[in-house]
Formats: sequence, C-alpha cells, structure tokens
Amino acid sequence: MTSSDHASNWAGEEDLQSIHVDLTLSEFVDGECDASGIELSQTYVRERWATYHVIADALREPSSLQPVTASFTARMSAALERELPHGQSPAVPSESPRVVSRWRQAVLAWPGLAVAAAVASVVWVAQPLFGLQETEQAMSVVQSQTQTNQASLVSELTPESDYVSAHRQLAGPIAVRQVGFMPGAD
Amino acid sequence: MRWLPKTAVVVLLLGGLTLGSGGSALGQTDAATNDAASLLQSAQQAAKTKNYQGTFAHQRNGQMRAFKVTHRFEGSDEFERLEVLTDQPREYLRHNDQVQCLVPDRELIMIEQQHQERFPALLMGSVERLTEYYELTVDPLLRRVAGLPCHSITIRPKDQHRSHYELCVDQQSGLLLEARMHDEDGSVLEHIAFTQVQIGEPISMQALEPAWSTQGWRVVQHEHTTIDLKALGWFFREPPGYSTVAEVARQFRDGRQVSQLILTDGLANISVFIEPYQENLSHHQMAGASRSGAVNLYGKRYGSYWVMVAGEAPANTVRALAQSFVRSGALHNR
Repeated sequence: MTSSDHASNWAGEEDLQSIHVDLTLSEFVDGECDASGIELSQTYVRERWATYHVIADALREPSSLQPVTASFTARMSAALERELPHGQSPAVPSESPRVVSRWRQAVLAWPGLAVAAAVASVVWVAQPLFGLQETEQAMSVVQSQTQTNQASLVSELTPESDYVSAHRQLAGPIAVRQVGFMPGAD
Repeated sequence: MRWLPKTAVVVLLLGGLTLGSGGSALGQTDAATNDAASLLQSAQQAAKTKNYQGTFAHQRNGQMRAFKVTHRFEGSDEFERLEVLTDQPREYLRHNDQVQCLVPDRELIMIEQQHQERFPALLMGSVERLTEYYELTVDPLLRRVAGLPCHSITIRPKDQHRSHYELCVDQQSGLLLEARMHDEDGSVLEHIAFTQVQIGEPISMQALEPAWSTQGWRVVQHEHTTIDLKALGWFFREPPGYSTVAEVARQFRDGRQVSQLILTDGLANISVFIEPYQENLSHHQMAGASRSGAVNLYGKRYGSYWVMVAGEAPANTVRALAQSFVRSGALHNR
C-alpha cells in the first residue's frame, strides 16, 4: 500500500470519523475521558483501542512491556469479542462491504507499524545496548516470549556468562567475533 | 545499507617491521627469538594488508564454530566480510575499525567500533614488549595447516602471570593460520585454525557484499564512553607486564552501568568490572574465584562497590589483581 492509496482512503467523512475515534481513544487510554462514546463493537475501533493500549503501556512502564506479535491485535480483538454483551454481533454492521474493506486497509496500513515503532523505541531505551549477543538477547526477551525454546534459553543465563561475554567482546587473546545468540554461548 | 564511508583509523602498534624473514632458526636462542618476533610482526601486518579468503574453525569450551572470512586491502583501507557458518546466520562487515553486524532474522544492523584485533590478527601491543614476558621460539620443522606449510611458533611465559600459546604462520605470506592457547597443565583451552584459505588473490567488491538485501533494516549504533578510573579515585596494582589499554563505561543487559578496564601484556587480556554494589543482584554474589572455559574470574565486594576481574590469565594473577583494587581515601579500610 502506497502513501497515496493511504491518503485517498483517509479522505472525506471517514477521515473525520477516524480522527474523532483516535482522539477519543487516546484521551481514554490516558485517563482523560471515560469510555462512553467509544464504540467497541466496531472492528476498527477495537483495533485502534488495542494499539493505543500497547503504546500507553509501553510509555508508562517499559519493563512491563509484553511481547507484541503480529497476531497481537487479532488476539486482542478476539478477547474483546468475548466481552461483548450477549446477542450483539461483533461484526461491523452499519457500513457497506466496500467501505469496510477500505477501513481495514487503512487500519492495517499503519497502526501495525505504529505499534512496532513504539515498542522498538522503548526497547532500545529500556535495554541499553551491551554487546552483540546481549542486544539480541534483549530483543529476544521482548519478541519471543511465545517461543518456548528461546524463553527456556533465557533462563540459562548466568551472571558469570555476562562478565565473560563482556570481557570477550572487548578483549580476548584469540579473539573471534562474539556470535552466540545468548551470553555464554559465545 | 552498504559500507559506511569512514576514514581509516587503523592503529598499528608495530615498530621496525622486518617482513619476509624466513624461519631459519636453527641453533641459537637469540636468533630463534628474533625470527619468531619478526614472524609475529609479519603475521600482524599480513592480516591487515593481504587479500585472503578462507574458512576457519574456532573451538572453545567444548564448542566449535566455523567462519568464512573475505579480506581485501586496497590503498590503506581494509574491507572484511566475516560470515558465521555455525548456528544463526550472521555477517560482520568491517571497513577498517567500523563494524556492521547483520542480523537477518531481526532485519537489524548493529554498528560498532572495533576495539581489538580479531583472528587472523592477534597482538594488541608490540612484539618488542611481548619478548620481555614471553620466550618466543620457532620450530625448525615446518608444519602444515589448511594445506599450507607454516612456521610453528611457541610462546612460553617467562613467569606465572600468563599462558602458553602455539601459533603457525604461513611460510609464504606470513598470515597467521593457527593459534592455540594452553593452560598451566598444557591442555588446550582455545583453538582457532584455518581449514582452507587462499592468500594473495584479488578480491572483488562483490565478494564482500552481504548475502542479504538490507534495505529497510533497522540500524543501531552503540558506543562505549571512555572514562578514567584513577581520576575517579581507584587504585590498583597491574600484574607484571600488563598495562591498561582501555577504560570504558558500558551498560549491561539489565541496564546497570558498569566501568570496564582492560589490561594486556600484548597477548593475554584481563578485564576489570567496577559497579555499585547491589545486595540482591546475583552478579554480586560471586565473591571469590570461579572459572569459565579459558577465563578465570575473581569477584569481591569493596565497600559500596563490586569489583569483578575476568581474564585469560592464571587464577592467581586474576585474584591478586582483584585484591589490589582500592579507592583512595579508603586505603586503611582494606
């Protein structure tokens, strides 16, 4: 999707509506207004809701940052659907199929990127770079908690391997580059 | 993302180069030492100024990893591509002392300055200084590594503060082909050797191109801040022959700030880490001696600080260095 497609999708009445939704959600997540007026029955609104919460959580408490995967928004939406009142359809009811697809296009185009960008910047701030594999380690902690094999490797870290990796990154008699994915595996 | 343009800042600490002196070290010890010294100097020079491409294996702590290195020297510029062949694919692209680490599974490029020599370069300091603390000898018999005849050099410590190394240097080009580090008992702690290498052939820039298109990858740069521990009040006794080559402030994975001091005798290196003591931090529960492969460690709490020494030096040397660390104004509280 190009930026011009993006712009055209965001033209007109839909544009104004989306801006209103974003403003309301942003204020709600920041605790500046209540949830009345937020239509969580709409797919777009739910996805935006999830996005704003991730960003807000990341900004407030980087250390509590949960893994953000490509399926995060989808799972969040599914969870929200389960929370909807009985008998209410989770589908977007009031718009034509053409409009719905354009909404979805617009939603998928950049909120996903916004999540990734927000998370990445927080990670780099919260996890100052140490060594090559330590950097990857920091990233893996954030990105791979759904992958049990990597999560189990994380638990094998020892303080000793931290010091050894730090030493060998800058000094070593027979020095090769640090290539281990985890400290201690160098 | 390709090579970043950067002026060459290659720190060559070599003096009095005597290239191409062969290994005719028959008989006299002095002659053998001189030959070994000149072979080491030419090895250091060859690692920078020769074109070469080959694969080498590195063994440590019971693990072996393979690498492919492509090195091109042009004018005064070094270009190197190092491909990691074992486990996760990685490439390191180096232009002089600027290194880019390519992480394809993260679509990430990490940029850092090279702080020390990497195989097949070896020495951090001058060969002249090395001969004060090591006895260098060349075996009159040639060995063979990666199919090439090479001069076998033995580097034995003259005291108890360092380890024993065995090297093999290509007879024709002077390139280091193999290095082994032994502990006090003679067993091999670390071993690195070419298994195949071509030396002196032209290397095209295409051969230095990474395997992946890195367009749109994130780029992260990290640097270490230089500090002065003595100005901060720290005092310590360097082990004989070792001197400080770097003092930096860096951050560990958990974000805590740690000062790192690096000492070298030209071959062996020791790191000292100093940071505020934290009662509940597992890193600070490692008081006393420990060992990880070729690295000896010794940790001690010093007042409100934690001092950890780690290096490929004998355990006694590491311990003595750790114990010597004090902060001025607190000398009587040791």
